[in-house]
Amino acid sequence: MRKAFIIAYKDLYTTFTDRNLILLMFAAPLVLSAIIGVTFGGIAVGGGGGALSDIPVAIVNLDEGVSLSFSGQDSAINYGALIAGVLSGEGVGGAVSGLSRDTADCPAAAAAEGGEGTMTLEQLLAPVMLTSVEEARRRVEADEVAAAVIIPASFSADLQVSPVKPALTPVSIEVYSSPERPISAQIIRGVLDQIGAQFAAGNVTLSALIASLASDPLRISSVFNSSAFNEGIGCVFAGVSSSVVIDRQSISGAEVVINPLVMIGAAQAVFFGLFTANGQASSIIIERKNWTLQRLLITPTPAVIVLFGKMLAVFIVVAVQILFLVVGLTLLASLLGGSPQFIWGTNIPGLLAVIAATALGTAGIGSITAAAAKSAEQAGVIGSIVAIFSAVFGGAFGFMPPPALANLSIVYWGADSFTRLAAGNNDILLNLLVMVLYGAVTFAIGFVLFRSRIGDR
Amino acid sequence: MESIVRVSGLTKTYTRQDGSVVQAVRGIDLDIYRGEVFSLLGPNGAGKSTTISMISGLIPPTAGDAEIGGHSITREPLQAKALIGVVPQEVALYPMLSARRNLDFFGRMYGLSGAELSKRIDEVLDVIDLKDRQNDKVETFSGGMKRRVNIGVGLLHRPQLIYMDEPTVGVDPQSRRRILDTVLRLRGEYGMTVLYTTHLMEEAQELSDRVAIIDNGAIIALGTLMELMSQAGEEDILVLTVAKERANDSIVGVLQAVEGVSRAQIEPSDTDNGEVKYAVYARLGRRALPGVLTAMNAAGVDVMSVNVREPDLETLFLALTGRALRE
Repeated sequence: MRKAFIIAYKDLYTTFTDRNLILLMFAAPLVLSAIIGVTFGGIAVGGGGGALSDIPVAIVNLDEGVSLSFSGQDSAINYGALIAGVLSGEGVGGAVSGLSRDTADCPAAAAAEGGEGTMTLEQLLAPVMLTSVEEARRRVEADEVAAAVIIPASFSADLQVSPVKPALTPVSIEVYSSPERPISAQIIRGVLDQIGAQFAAGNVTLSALIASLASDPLRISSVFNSSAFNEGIGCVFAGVSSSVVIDRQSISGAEVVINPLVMIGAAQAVFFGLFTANGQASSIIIERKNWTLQRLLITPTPAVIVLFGKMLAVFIVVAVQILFLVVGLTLLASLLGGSPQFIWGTNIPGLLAVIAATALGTAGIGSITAAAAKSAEQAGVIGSIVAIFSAVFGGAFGFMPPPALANLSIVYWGADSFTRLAAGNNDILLNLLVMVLYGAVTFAIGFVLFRSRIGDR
Repeated sequence: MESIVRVSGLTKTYTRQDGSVVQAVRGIDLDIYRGEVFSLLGPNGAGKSTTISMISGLIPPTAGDAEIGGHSITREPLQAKALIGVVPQEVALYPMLSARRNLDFFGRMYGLSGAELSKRIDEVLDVIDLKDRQNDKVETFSGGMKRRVNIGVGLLHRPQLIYMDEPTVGVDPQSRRRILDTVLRLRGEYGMTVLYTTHLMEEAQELSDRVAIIDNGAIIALGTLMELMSQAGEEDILVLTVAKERANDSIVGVLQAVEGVSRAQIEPSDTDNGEVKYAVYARLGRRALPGVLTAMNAAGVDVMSVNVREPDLETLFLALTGRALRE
């Protein structure tokens, strides 16, 4: 194994002492990502919201509503209409009857409202109310809207809690989104998640209250008829409209700040990683042509160790390249922002894991494309084709292909991991697993191909 | 004599893309003795490099085996390879690294490290006479200097046997002389066994204790220089060039009548350049030459030029295959 490290060290030394190669490998992706990020990023988030406003969304509310009866006081609620009202900016009027509570009186809701640098759902979305599910789907497929929000008929009934139905029935709102607009669709999902959380909070509060009163049925009537209960419970539901406030750089109430340099740089990092991996793996072909590979194989070193050393170097070079891009874009963002900014989220171990997994995946692909080629020139052509297709499938060029294709691309998984972390979403386990698996499989295939070419001894 | 290399039935067969089978090496049997310079002589494509590649463990044989110092190259490749130093025909070096770094890297691949490696590198730089350029990148070296570093890499771990595959290809006469001197020094001063392949008869003759001539993947002659020379025949050949208009059928008879000449004939020629060449066979060609020229003068035939061919490996190869080594 020591010899594998010696080979890897030699390759790293050769690579990192080649000024032209360094310029191509490190400066080019950084400059390109910076230019695209600054140019298109400014359009995306600057100047009054730009692309993050007026997201077209179709809303189909099929909810039939439900009647509520608290100790003789009847009221009706249609949570679907409430959501539709929130999304459309028309408010909750008509969605709830019998519960009289002004939103402005709720302290939490008031705190969430307004503020510098924030925008309301009304500013964020451009909703279209529809009655037909088919029409909504058609509009998504025709790319007329970013997503369709379809609220099922039993929505209110399932969410209802009462003395006779003290628990929630799981229910889902369908978001039929366009793969062409992944960011818009993600924002709509984020808004609905926030609304869903609010509903859950309200209903769980109610459920808990009912459960505690169940042991003393005589108190139920007096509690439900008290003004304190009505004010509190009304605030829980009415809060929906005001708590969903979109910060200009965030989705819903969470502290989410995704710098445009991340959006561009993440995909570019993986894209350029593929090129570097291919070029680096092609050194095996070049060594074979120059006879240094044969000379290595004549030494008392197993072919497996020689190949492992070479591939270890490929992995390290790609990892360093991606790390360099991450650090470089961070410095650039800090420079542009006028203060230190770490744009990739706060999960440093997660970020390092993503860099390592991305490097493994891209290095694996590079090793296959190089192993399949007969010459370094041919490897370059094959590698470029694979990198470009991966980038297209992975959404690196601004549009997102169908998920079935995107899932095949290492660019998608890598870029998605970086964006998730930057958004404060640490749910990257699947991404890591996919990339590590991708890397392991492709490395193994590349390894076998190379070994069959040089002959194993 | 103790064998350091024992080759038996070594065969390499390739299958072309069109399905046809090529026999690159055809069941070679060979013993190379410890401390000798053994040359494998043959024209390009004869199978020299394939044989060396199999003996050094680079390509697996289709059949047969080779033992290096008692270790089978197919069954104990790592032990066998540790005894071998290889100087490939190609300059197998990293051009972006300095001479010293190249030596350091390959030394480590042979398991050397630390002060011992540093000492060996200094020794090798001394042998190849490149101490003053050791820290320069190999890409800045002349062809001859690169060849010397190429040899140095093969010597670093003090192998018992060193394979040199046409190490003088493409180098200037001065560098070639240095390389040949290095080979002689390896045997003389370090007692190494050298397996040397070449298509240059002069190199094989100058360096070798024993020579094997290989053609079409098979060894067609093997022995010491003296043994091979005797196979080539003991007669010199005097080649006389005469103007075509002065040539006639009686000249062959005139030449055969000279004392010391065993036979004479017209050398066949494909080109009509206004000349005719007569080959005159004599045991001691230079001694017979005055008589030949006197006879030609007496016959009224002017001789334009005379060339004396003494028996050598080239003649032997020609005699064995009907082709010249350099064809």
